[in-house]
Amino acid sequence: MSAKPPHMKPVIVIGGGVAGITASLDLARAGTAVHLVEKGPALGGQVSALDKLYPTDHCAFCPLWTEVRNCMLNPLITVHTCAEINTITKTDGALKVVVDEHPRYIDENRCISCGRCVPACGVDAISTLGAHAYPPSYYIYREKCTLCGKCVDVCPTSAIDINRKAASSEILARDVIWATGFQDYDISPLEEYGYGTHPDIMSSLQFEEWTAESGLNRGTVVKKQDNKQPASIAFIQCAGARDLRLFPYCSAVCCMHALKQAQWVKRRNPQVQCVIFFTDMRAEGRHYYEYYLREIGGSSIELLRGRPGLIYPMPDEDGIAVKYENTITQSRQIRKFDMVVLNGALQPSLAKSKDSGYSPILDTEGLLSGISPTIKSCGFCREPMDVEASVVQASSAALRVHVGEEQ
Amino acid sequence: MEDNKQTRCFLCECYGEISDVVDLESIRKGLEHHPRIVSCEKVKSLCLEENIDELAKRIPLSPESRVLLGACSFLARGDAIITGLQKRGIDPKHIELVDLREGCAWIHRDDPASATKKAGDLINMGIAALVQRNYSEDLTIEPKQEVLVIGAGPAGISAAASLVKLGITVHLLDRAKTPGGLLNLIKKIAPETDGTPQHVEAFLYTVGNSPLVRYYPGSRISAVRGSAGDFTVEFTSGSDVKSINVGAVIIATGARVNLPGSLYRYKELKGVITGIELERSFKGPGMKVTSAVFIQCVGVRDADRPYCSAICCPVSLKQAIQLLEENPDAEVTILHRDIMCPGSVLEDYYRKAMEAGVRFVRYDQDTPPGILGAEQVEEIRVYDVITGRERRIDAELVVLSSPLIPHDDAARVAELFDLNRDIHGFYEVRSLMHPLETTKDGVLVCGSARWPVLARTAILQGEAAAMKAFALLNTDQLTATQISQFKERKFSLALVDRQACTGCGNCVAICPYDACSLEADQGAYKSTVSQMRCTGCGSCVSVCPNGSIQLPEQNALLIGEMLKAAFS
Repeated sequence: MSAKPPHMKPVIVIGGGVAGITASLDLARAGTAVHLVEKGPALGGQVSALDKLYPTDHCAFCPLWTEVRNCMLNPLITVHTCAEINTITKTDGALKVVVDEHPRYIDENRCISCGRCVPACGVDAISTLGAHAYPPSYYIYREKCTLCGKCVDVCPTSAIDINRKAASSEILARDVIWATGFQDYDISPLEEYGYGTHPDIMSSLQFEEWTAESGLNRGTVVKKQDNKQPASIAFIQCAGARDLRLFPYCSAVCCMHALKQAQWVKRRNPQVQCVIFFTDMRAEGRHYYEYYLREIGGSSIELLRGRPGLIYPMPDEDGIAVKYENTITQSRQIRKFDMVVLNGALQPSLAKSKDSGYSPILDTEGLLSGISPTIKSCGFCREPMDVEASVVQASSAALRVHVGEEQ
Repeated sequence: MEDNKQTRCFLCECYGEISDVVDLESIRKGLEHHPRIVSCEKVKSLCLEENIDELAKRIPLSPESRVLLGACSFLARGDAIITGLQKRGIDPKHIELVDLREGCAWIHRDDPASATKKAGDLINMGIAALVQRNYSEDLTIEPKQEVLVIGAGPAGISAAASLVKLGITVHLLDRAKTPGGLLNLIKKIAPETDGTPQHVEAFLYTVGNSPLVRYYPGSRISAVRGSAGDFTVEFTSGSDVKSINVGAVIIATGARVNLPGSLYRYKELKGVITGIELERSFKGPGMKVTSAVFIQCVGVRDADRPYCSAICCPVSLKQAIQLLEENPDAEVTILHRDIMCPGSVLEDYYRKAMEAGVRFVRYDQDTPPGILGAEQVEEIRVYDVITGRERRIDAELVVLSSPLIPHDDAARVAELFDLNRDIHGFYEVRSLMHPLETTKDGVLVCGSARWPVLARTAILQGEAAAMKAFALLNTDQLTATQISQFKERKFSLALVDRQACTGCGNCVAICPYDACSLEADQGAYKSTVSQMRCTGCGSCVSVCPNGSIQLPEQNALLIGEMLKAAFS
């Protein structure tokens, strides 16, 4: 590839999800050197935690893997995993960015995924990063590890070094793109949703992980409580979102996400009854309404308009009660479900950089949309959006950074 | 010819992960006398840096040298070995990776004899593949560093202005006489909070003033030739016929507003108008009414048009707020099926409309609102699905919110550029991670031609498309391999044996990418393949009656030899 010579100073992209990956690849292909800083141990972000994508129903892994690999192999992209931004300071004509890299005790270039370290670990601190991680490697969770060294003794390739220390590097950058995405938010303070009172009241991302084909249960749907198949599942939309007490915005992805989850439940376990409690069914994206029609028409998913007023475990652990209002009869109704999936409370996650005059100022909703024009951002941390929109915005942010313009 | 190829075989024990199950020693012994193997050895591991160093030293850098690696899956560490060897100067085309770990040892852990048998068969197939495999020749062209943007609506002018910033010459074609597209029909852009109106103004300025922009209003494309990096496009601009040469094409042809036909007594009653007609009066004398009702999803989200046009809800919110600005005492109601305002900016806008006093009533597809009145609309009758009661709402004005539909010439443009369209007629794109790349290399699509979007999103898509076009053209030498990298697949091109080709044309008929064509050659027709268009899908191979068209990487001889090796 004989791309034109790169610009002198690199660009820092913070966040290695779909937005960050796309922005990095676009910049690199345009000839700009990039440092991609990811907090977690592997690239992929929230999409790598998803089982399927709507509206294609394809596995999330396929489209992502090639892009992650392209990122890792691109000579103009330096990937920093387990890394966080420490400070960003303005200097003459550049930004001085200090990146803290936490120790990765297992060298991913030496790990052969034999898994001998897992039984050796007494505290369950080692696991794979999932079937989708690139490069594939085992990983030691710092917070659980006691540094006992038993894993070091069994590793055949000497890939483990528990004496490795955190490192910090200083990069003189031309610009920074924030692509930090979102994270699941614990909505137990909103007591009416009953989150935390029953093992089978879970957030949609937890449900995705619990039922994923590559996950623990290999795609079958069972209750957490007793590992038996549920008779019914309620999907509660806008739980914590479009709610002035928590997130006033619409999280943009949950309607289709719930439809997707419900229809995959139906596909794998047709006898499970699925009910979606919704406010507006926002199937407005490319081919979303077709997906909606197909799923609602074909698989008998029940749609109920309205937000339940109260969700609580039934006495004797016999299911979960969902109390809601039938607006037509103006009567309150209680329906029993075996599982409840709460959809909506997705919090924009921003790497906290120590205040140095360049940390992002968030708007009242915790987003980067209304902030200073000199800070570039893309993806969910800017405005709640789906994969397609994040990818488009990432390319747009890459353009603005490449030409050195304000966003 | 085959015999001078020297295959060296390396079998990885993977610290016992493979060798504990698969009997590598017996496989190694079996290969010692294989006519095509010059050496075969077991190694403890292959994928660590020091192993790759060692490995590279033992592989001669000669064109005849071939390497067979019995290791793990490509998705595991196989990728790292091949990439490592490539960095050390060994052509990855001369390496064959056989998966002995995931595919043999791990999955058949309980049955070592079968695992060993399978491993042996796979290795034999790998050896056959190495001998018979040919490779497509890469083609290099010098890409034209100019881009054609079709359509001067918000997406098109955003793409054009962005390309100017990147220093690329842009040819901007538009069917209309003035730039702006649908924006010319409306008074104000909403929501205005994110700076969209200012962006549009800046883009229009660039389009009108930049020396890098060649703007051709009133144009119509008549012919397209070539492929990514080198397109020739002929068009008429006014009475002139022009031809330009560009490296990439951005389609931003937009969409048009559907007319409601006779729905909701449109054209029959006074006071029943479309959203665009309302915009026209906002631009002109203004519209001051005491009561107005908007009806959403007119002629869309039904059996004929089973999609959501996405922009109509925010547009009606804007118009409702405008009506209230002109007459704060007006009663403005929006009859909707779902208010489509995803995200933060649009949800804020929805809340703003509610605070401004706009009322919302939800109706159902099965019980559409009825319009009452003799000559002039007087009243709307609607079944409110939330309360389960029928409501009567006074209405001096009824605004029908119609969807965007593809332009009438979308089919013609699709045919010219060989693009796929979805069932609604919008241009189809490649994947979720490549949402602006059409099925044709070097042709991008943005804005409402792809899917109905508001101006704010069209602008983002225009910028993104410009960046993608720049990334493709930002090189002096564009190779077919490079183009294929944008497609996330291995590079392979169909190759025609001109001697054997009978000119039957089956390949021309089946090729989904228009890469095959017939060419007169010494009195007979012969098939020829455009290297820049071929994607290596293999459709032509399957219909060729005598095997004269082949993918070198997967030719019939190779597959035959591999099968022989497996079953001998």
